[in-house]
Amino acid sequence: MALSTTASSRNTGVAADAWKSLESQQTPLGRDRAGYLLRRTCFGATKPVVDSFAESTPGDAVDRLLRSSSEVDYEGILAIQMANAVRSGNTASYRGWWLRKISDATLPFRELVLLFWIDFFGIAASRVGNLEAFHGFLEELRLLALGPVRDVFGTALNHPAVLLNLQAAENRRSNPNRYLARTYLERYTVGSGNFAESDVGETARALTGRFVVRSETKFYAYEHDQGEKKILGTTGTFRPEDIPRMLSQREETAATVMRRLYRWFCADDVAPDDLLRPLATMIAEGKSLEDVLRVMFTSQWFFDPVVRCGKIKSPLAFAMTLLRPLQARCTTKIADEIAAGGADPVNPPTVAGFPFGYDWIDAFSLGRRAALAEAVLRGGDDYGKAVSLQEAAESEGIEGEEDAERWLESLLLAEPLPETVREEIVRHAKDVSNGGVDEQLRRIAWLITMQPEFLLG
Amino acid sequence: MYRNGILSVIVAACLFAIGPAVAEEPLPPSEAWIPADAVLVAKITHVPELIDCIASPEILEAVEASRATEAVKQKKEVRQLLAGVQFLESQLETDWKTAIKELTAGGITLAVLPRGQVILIVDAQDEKLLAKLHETLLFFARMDAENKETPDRVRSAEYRGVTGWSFGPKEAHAILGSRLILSNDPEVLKEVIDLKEGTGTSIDKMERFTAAMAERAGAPAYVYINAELVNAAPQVQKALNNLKEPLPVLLFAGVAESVSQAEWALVTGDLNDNRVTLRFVTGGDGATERKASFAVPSDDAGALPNITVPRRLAAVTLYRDLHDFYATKDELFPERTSGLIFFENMMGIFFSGRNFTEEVLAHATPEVRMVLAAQEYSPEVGEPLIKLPAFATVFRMKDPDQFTPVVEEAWQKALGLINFTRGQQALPGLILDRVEYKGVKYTLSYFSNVDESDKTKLDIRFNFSPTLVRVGDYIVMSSTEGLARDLIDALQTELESGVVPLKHVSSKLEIDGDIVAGLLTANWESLVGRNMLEKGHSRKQAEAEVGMLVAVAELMDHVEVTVADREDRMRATLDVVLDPQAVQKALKLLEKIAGGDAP
Repeated sequence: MALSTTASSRNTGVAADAWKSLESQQTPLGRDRAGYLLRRTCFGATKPVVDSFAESTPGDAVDRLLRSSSEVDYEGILAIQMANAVRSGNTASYRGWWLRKISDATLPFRELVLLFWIDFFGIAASRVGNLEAFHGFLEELRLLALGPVRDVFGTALNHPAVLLNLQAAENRRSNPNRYLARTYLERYTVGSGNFAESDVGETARALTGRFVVRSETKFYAYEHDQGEKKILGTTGTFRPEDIPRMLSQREETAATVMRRLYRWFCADDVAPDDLLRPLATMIAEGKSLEDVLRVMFTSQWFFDPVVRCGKIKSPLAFAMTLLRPLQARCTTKIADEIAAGGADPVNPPTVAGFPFGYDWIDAFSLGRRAALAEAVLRGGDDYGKAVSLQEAAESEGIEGEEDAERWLESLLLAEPLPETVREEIVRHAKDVSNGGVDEQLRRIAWLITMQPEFLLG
Repeated sequence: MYRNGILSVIVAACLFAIGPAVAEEPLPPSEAWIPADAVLVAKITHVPELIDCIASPEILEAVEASRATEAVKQKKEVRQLLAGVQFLESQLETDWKTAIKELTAGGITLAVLPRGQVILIVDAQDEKLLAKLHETLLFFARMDAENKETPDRVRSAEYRGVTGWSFGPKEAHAILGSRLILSNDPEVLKEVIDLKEGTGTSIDKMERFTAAMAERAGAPAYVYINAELVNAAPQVQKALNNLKEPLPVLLFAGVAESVSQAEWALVTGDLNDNRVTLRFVTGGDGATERKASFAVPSDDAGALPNITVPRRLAAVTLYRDLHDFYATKDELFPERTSGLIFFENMMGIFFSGRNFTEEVLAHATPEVRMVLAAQEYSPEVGEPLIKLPAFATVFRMKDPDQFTPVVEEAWQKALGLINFTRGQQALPGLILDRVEYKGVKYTLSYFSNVDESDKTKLDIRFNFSPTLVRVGDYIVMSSTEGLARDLIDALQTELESGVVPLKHVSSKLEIDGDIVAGLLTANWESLVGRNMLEKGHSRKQAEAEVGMLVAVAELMDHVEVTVADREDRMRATLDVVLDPQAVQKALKLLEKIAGGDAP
């Protein structure tokens, strides 16, 4: 399979009915689609969870996903550890626990939605410089993440973490912050080409008087420019709290959000506006993100092979889609490796968010992925207990290398491997293994993680 | 398959041979049959007493009564092992405890040779019992071969009139009277028989071994190490090199040096009532060339006794001439010169341009003491979520009136720097105050809790209230005011009653196990959480591992490590006083964890 197979190559002509529901709404989703849905929205799941989704209708499966809570059975300890990390400003520990939760939760869908918003706002704990503010932002988002987009904007664009992330702790009348205004307009809302340079200056004036003092947002009237401003054709004496409301109601903002949402859950390539318009309209009309995602995840287009193979996995997705189906746990070391690969969930590298698509792939990063997969499968003090694939296979009644290979494929891949590749993997595993069945299965699993079918989707 | 396992265990413990009748004359000490090039020789005598101690009726009863034991007994492997033991007991016509005692009454000696070959010599009290056991084992081995329809694995051969037996390619043994000799290499067994016949040199003829044995002083157990050979191993070299950094050198002064220069090392062990004592001594020509002379007490000098304060977790007392240490830094750490110059420049700022070696360190006497204690939190301030112990260092000054203001100024500069740095990060700073307690004025710094809404889950910073206090000749730098006050009490008492140095002692560490266990239990959730994340454990696995740690702490009532320099030799002693109720307490804790009822 060529890595160049992407959504754009077939986008033309699909816009009109792309988001039409799957034709078989009343029949079970099936294992293949259930596995794909869970990989894309939850970084995969264990076999019993995939099986239970497979038996549900698409609507029921997606409803279950959208209402899932991402709880783990050690919420008490998790809360204490996260609180400790926040209080001591220990970002590494905070990241470790969050990733541990993602690796252990039955359905960590809500965490992926939170990650989407982190990517959208490009908010990094290191740029915020205050883990308490960053954590506060995430906790507030957790409540709003699947609601109407304008509610998210109303909270986020006034939040101290967002302001600190954009080095905008002070917005003085004497020196309006054009960088803050430009980022709001260009990255978060209407997007480039949809505003004039004068809108940047006027928005910056409207945002004056907003300060962040000891992790709290304050408004000082004496630092606010009280004059009249004209922003995107509307005139008024706008204050900082008016800007999120004004901007989030615009259609262009809905289109911006939809582009990012499509990139996050569907495919890396830029989708044509025609394709996204039906869902963008829902956002503009004030529908909740949950409604939008329900349409997306039950659509024919979402399950189209073009979309299924339309995303190159980030190091985070790579590690989690290996850990979760095998019921391995994320450790501090694995979390550090994910972060070193550029996918630190609490530190997107720039305000534009995380890299995506081909930016994730080069010879160096492939080497890192190979080493990480090997370490996770082999286990050790820093990587947790070794995964006993033999035990897992035996409990499934799997016998023989070829059956074991197919079983691992079904656990890990969105698309089946070509027969020749499969034979080569089995042959290679047999050749190099001298540690018995477990070692052979480990080798097969490792080779599967190196295939394009695993790196995509 | 498990039967083989049982067989191996029993074989390793007590093999023997039905050899020709041997002379009735008493056997020489086992060391006379160990080759001279042995890297390690370990011997334990008084085995029956040891067995009586570690398998006392009270302990066995507690283990039997434990639910955890019941769970272990249900395991297939354990059931098979117990059946095997029962069978052996019936064959030997005695219980397992008596059998082991009689089979090992003369002592057990283990030797490791340079190429990894091992010799085990077991001296039994009852020759007949040994023979009986051997017959049983031969029967087992042959029956096993028959059942599996494999060739008989038991082999025998004569060498210099002695019958040697083997159960496999990596096992050879012989029995000479009441003595069993076992090796993992048949050639080594021949070498032992040669020594018995007077051919070759045994370790007890070696000068180093004789010198080491002079230090044994009748201890019932010892381990002799040919340090020269062991130190040449790359892993040991690497470990010793890691101890050549400034802080390890200061803390473990002389220990790493003595070990790296030693020709031999001896560890002796003793067990009396609830006290386990291990003594470590090194020897050899090189041991007299000492760079770490800053840690060698002269004449009647030595470290001061450790300070006792309420809730003490650990205390360390050191004899370190800091002036001499720092003055020889270029010889000790030639590769760290630039880093140390930077450190010295920084110290110059704190000490207002004074020369750090001659005008600062020269004012301290070599007696340095440190204390670690659990904290008691004042209800007005509240309790932090993570509870850290308080710690303090006590220096003795040569001219306290002249030097105290210098230290005070440096201390306040350091606090100012901390406050400035925290302020840059919009974090709350320390408030400085001067307070009096029992007629002693001290400098206190603390964090305000005015903005804290939940005083039961305070931030980690509330574990600290840095305090500087002078008591007589001593200057105390404490992480908390509470510990500083406890030290004022302790030092005032000491000043009144006088203090006698521990002659020749350069370091002494004391740990109070029950307080450590208490602190671990107080931080249970944090420790479990850390274990889960770092090792990828489930909650249950993490609780079991942390529980083990607490159980070990519970086992030890009091631990002391003393390092002294006498007769040009480094002597270290480890004394562990076990809690008489330790086993019961540990079992109870592990049961609690297994039942999901963690502390």
